[in-house]
Amino acid sequence: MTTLPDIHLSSPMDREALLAGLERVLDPELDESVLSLGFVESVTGDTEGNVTVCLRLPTYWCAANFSYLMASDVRRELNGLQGVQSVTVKLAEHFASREVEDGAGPGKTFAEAFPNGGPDTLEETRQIFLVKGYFARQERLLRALKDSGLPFEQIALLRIGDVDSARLEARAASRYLERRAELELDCSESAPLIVDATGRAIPAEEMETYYIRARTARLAMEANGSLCSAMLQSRNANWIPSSS
Amino acid sequence: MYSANGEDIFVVDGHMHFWDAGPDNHRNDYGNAWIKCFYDYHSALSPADYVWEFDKYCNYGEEALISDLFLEGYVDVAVLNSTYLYEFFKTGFNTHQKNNVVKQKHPDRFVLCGSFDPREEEAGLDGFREMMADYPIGGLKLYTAEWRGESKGWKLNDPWAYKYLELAQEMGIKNVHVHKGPTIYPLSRDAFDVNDVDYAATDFPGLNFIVEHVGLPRLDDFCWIATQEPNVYAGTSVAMAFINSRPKYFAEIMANLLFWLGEDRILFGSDYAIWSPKWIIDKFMAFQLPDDIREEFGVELTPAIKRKIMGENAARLYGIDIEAHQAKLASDDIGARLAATA
Repeated sequence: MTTLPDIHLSSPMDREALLAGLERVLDPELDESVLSLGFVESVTGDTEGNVTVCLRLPTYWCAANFSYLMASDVRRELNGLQGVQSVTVKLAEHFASREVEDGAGPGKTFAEAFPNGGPDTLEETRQIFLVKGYFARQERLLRALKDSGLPFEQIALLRIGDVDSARLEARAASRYLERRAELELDCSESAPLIVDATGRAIPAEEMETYYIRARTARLAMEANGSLCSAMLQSRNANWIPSSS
Repeated sequence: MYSANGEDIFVVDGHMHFWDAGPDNHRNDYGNAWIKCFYDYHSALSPADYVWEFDKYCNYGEEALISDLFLEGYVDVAVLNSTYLYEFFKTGFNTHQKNNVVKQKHPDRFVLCGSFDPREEEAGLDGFREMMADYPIGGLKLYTAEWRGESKGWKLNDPWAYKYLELAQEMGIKNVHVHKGPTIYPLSRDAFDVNDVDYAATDFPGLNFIVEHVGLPRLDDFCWIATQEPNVYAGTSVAMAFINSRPKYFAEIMANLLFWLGEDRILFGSDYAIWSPKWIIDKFMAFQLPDDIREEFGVELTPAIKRKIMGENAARLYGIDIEAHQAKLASDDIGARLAATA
């Protein structure tokens, strides 16, 4: 499904480092990388080290706030990479292309870019979706543990150090722990494995209910991601790129 | 009417449109971008045989509407949305005035939705009263993300929205459809945030709030609210269309709705002409929840539950006596056309 962007680099920039940087940029609403979602249409770098990244989102109407976060994150991840002098982010055929391009590239706050648009910064929105992503990642780990035969009461007793890196749930666990660290929760080996977004350990008797809620949060993100990828495919098939 | 194994199933399409989005009606590029985006939804999730040419999609006309819904698409009663979008379309996208023309020709086939925009404040209240007096308004469709001048959206719990909801209730409105889902996104923080439904549903226990598109992409938040508010309902358009190409997600969404809301608060909607009811209903009636999902969620999707989702739940909300209504439908012009081809 993933389409790699067109990449044209005419200076000694590290292609792999650029791609790794883009891989770290997530669609906050979907908790997936913009690169694997196919949102990065092209990456161009000139001999001076000026990089232009063009994003194409699934619809013309994709939310300005999330678009802005992605564009800002592209800039943040690529700035400072070896050989990169400047980063320009383009947003193809989007209702707020101009505001996002003029704002996220130069590093303005959301309110500066969208004077009628709402909050000063998007940190609150980002935080809400970091937490939603935390539940989604946690659900995948819980499901893997449950499918391996562990009852909820035993899952509640697990410590981070108990996760066996050789087992099936290892990938789910590492994605989960990565987000847990971003939320600045205790990630030491002796810390309880399953804690809520405030760091409270989930007691055995609450674990099933907790899992059921996390399951809905995970589904919302995945179903939305699935819709976005279908929309992007259709958009690419249906739209004739404008000559400008 | 959908018939299978000698059983007739009454079908209410809880969410559909009759739009004019042809180039002549575009006010600006937004009109064009709007309908192109709708077309992407259409082609992304429809089975290949049901994908239209773009020109037809822009303006499909009355005969296609009647055929796709009633003659081919099993629908008995359709809830006709009104969506104005005057900022994008010169004469509106599908206004109650335009919708009423087709409603008048087939009065028992359509529930006509009106609307309000609280940003009109005091000045709009008279217009709302006139709409209620001059048109056979059966419910409301609210679009909190609609652009209006500098404003890119509003909330159900804005003070002026409450004034309009109070007036609507006084004038006999029971059902309020609220668009909370994908399609167009406003600039404001998150106008698809469903929390405003929570406030309005608590403060207006006499109104039913049908959340269209089950809040996707906020399905989780929608479920928490709907669990607490007995007058919040799931409008399943968009989610229903997953049944073709994403049956696993469709199964999971349905299992979640059954788990959190129960079988009495889920309403079918096709979102026609984004998707045609015929293929959705064919697939839905044949659909079984996979065993692993049934077991994990502890829910069933039995034929009796499907009947509720397809029509009985909506009929209850709209006060439609199914048996009496079926008799009326059998003798209208569409009933006659159906009988002629049977």
